[in-house]
Amino acid sequence: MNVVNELLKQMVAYTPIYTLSSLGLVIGGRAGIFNVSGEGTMLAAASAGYIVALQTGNWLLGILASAAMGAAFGFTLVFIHETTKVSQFIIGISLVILGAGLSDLLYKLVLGVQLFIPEAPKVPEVRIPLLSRIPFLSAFINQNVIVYLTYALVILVYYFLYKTKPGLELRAVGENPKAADVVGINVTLTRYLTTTLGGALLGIAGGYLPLVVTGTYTPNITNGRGFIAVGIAIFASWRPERTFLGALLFAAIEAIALQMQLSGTVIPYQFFLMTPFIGILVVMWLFKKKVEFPASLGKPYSRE
Amino acid sequence: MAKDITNILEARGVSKRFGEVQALYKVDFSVRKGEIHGLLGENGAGKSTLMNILYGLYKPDEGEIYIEGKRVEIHSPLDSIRLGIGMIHQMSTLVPEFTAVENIVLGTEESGSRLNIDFSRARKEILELSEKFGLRFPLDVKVKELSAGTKQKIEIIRALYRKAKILILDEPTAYLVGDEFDQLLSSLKILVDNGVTVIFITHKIREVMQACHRASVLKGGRMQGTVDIEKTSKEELVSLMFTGQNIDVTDSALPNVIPEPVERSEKPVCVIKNLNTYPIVKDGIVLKDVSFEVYGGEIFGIAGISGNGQKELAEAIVNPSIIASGEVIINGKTTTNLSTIDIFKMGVFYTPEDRVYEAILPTASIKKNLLLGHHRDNAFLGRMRTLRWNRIKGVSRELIKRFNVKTPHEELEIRKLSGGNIQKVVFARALMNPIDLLVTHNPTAGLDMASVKFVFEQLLELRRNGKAVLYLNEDLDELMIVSDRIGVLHEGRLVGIFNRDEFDKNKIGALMIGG
Repeated sequence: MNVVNELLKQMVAYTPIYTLSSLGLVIGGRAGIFNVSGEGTMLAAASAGYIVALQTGNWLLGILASAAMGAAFGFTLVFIHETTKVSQFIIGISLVILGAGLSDLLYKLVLGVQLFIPEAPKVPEVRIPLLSRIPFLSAFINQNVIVYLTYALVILVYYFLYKTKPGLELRAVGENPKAADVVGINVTLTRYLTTTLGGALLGIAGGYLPLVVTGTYTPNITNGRGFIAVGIAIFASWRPERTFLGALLFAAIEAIALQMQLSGTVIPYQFFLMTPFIGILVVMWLFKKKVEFPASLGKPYSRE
Repeated sequence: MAKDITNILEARGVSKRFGEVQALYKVDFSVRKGEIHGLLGENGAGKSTLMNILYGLYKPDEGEIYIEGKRVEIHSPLDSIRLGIGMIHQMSTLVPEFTAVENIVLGTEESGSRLNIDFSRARKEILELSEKFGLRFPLDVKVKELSAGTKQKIEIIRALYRKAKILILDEPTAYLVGDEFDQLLSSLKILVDNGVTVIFITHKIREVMQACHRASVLKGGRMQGTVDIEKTSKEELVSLMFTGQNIDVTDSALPNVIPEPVERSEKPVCVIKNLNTYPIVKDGIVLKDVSFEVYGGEIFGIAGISGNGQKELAEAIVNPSIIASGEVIINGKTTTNLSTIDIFKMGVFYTPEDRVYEAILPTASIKKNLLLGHHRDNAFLGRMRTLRWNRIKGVSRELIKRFNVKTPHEELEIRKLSGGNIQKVVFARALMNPIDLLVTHNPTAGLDMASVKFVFEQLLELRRNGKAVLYLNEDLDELMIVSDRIGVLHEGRLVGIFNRDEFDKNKIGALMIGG
C-alpha cells in the first residue's frame, strides 16, 4: 500500500517533464512546425533555470528563465525556417547540438568548476487539505505547484485547440496552410507564435529537472527525455489530452526503474536508464497504424 | 441582356515573371458589374497567375488594379476578401479534416466573439445562403469525404459568407462529373441575378459559349482581346487562343483526328491472361480474372470510371510483383518473376496517371527527367560507367526540338513548365528509343486542345509503326476518337470489349456504371 502510493507519487512528480515538453511540441506541430530540438532546448533551459534560481535564490525566477531560454530556442527554429525554408528537422537537430554545448558552457561561465554542487531553491509543494489524505488520489494532489500548472495546461490547451476560434485557425494552418492563407489567416505569424510558446513549455520542462527532480544541474541532465517527448507527441497523434496519458506512461516507467535501481538488484543500473527508450520503441510499434499527423506537419509553406 | 457597363474590376498593365518564365506581360483586363466574364486560354497562358494576383497570393512585378474605379493595393488574400473578392481555386482549398461549417467560418470575424464561434448563428446563415443560391451540401461531414462538386459548392458559399461581390472561379469544371456542370451554371445565373459578378476561368471554348456574357482571351501571358459572346463565334475564339495554329473545330472540346487503317500484327504484343492482382493501396480494388490481348498496330482503350482497376492494370504490366495469379505475356515471354527493369528492357514504357507525382522529378531539370530510366543505356555511359553529360545534353536538345517542348533551355526545372509541356517531356522520354508497348494512363488529363492533339498524334504514330498501345482514359469521348478496340473495367473486372464499328457511347457508358 505504502509502496504503491510512494511509486504513484514518484510517477506524478515525473509527469510534468513529459507532459510539458510534448505539449510544447503539440502546440507548434498543430500549426505545422515539427520541432525535434526538444533535447537541446530542455538542456539549455535546465542550465539557465538552475543558474538563475541559484543566483537569485528564487525558484520562480529560475522557472521563468527556463521558459525564456526555451522560447528563444523555439523562436530561433521558426525564424530560421521561415526565413530560409531550410528543413525543420535539420534546424532542429542543429539546435539539439547547440543546446547541449550551451548548457555546459553557461554553467561553467557563471559558476566555474565547483567541488560541491550547490542545491538550487526547490519548487514548493502544496498540499490540498483533506483530499490529500485519500489514498492514491493523494499522490496526484500532494505535489509541487508545477504539477498543478501541468494539469491546468492540459485542459487549457485542449479547450483552446478544439473549442475556440483561434484554436480552429491554428489547426487549419497545420492541416492545410494554403486553405488558411486564402481565408486571410496569417500562416507565418501563427507558426511564430505557436513554436515560440511551445519552446517556452519545453523550457519549463527542462527547468523542472534541476529545480524539482534533482535539485542540481549535471551535464546531460535531460538524458534523452527531449527525444522521448517527440515520441509521445507522435503516438498521441498530436492531441493534448493523449500527451498527458503518454506522459503518465513514461513517468511510470521512470518511477519503476528508479525503484528497481534502489532495491539493489544485480541488474546494472544502466539497464534501468535505458528502459524509457525501449518503452518508446514498443509504444511506436503498438501504435504504428493508429497515429495521425497534421497533414502539413514539417512542410514549409510559401505562396509562389 | 442590358448590363451595367461600369467596370467593377480593372487591371492595367499587369506583368509577372517566375524565374525565367514571363507568366504575364502588360495585361489589361476589365470586368463589368453583374456579368459572367470568361477568361479563356491554354494551359500556361497565365490565367491562374492573373487571378492569383487579383486575390493577393502573388505580387505583380508591375501594373495597377482598380475596384469600382478606385486604385487598390492587394497584398494578401485578407485585403482582397475585404474588397469583396472571393476565389474558388482549381484545387480545393478547404481543410480536409474540418466540416463544411468549420471551413466556412474559418478566419471570419463576424460570427461570435474574438475567442468563440457562434456556431448556431453561423449554421443559420449558411443554410440561408445555401437555400438562396441552390447550393446544398451536408454541414457536419468532414470535407475529405465529399465529392469535388460538393467541395466547390462549399467554397462558393464560403466566399458569399464573406460577402463577396466578385467571384473568381479557376477552372471550376475540371473535376465535375455528370450534371454537376449544369447545376453550377444555374447557380451562377442566380448569383448574377443577385448582383454578384463572376469571373470564369477555363480553357474550354464550349463552356465559355454556354456560361459567359463576355470573354477575354490570354495567350502566352499576353491579352489577346475581349469579345461579346453574343457577337462572337467559336472560330473567332479559337483563332484568338491559337493564332498561327491549325486546329480543327468540329468539336470544340476535342481535336478531330481520324485514325487511318493500319494492318494489325498477327501475334499479340501483350497478352493478359486470367489476371488477378493484390491491392496496391490498403483495402484498394483488385483485378479479377482479366483477360485480353493487345496487338501491334492497335490502340486498345480501357474505359471505366476512375478507381475501377485502371491503375492496377497498368501497374501489373510494369510491376509483376502485384500479380496474385494469372500472367502477363509480352512478345511471347511471360513477365512472372521479372523486375520492372527487365520489362523496361523488353520495350515496354509506362506513363502514369499522376503526371507531377509519379511521372517526373518536379525539381530536377528537364534534361535529368529525360534521362530517367535511360540512365543505364550504354549510349549515355562512358568508359568507367559514368554518365556522359555532354551527350545527354545533346540528346535532350534534340528531343526538346523533336517534341516541341516550349522551354528556354534543357536545364529548367521541369515543374516550371505547363502541364502540356510536362506531358511532352514524359512522352519524349517514353518514345526516345523504339518501344513495342506503351501503357499510358490518362495522358490528356487537364491538357488544352493543342496538347491533347499532340498526345493523340503520338499514339497514332506508334500505331502506324506497328507498335501496341494500351490507352487507359476515364474520358470516353477521347477514347472513342483514337482506339481500335475499347475494353470496359468495372469493379476490377473486364466487363466487355467493343470493336471500333460497335462503339456506342450509351452501351459502353452503361457497362461503366455496372449496367
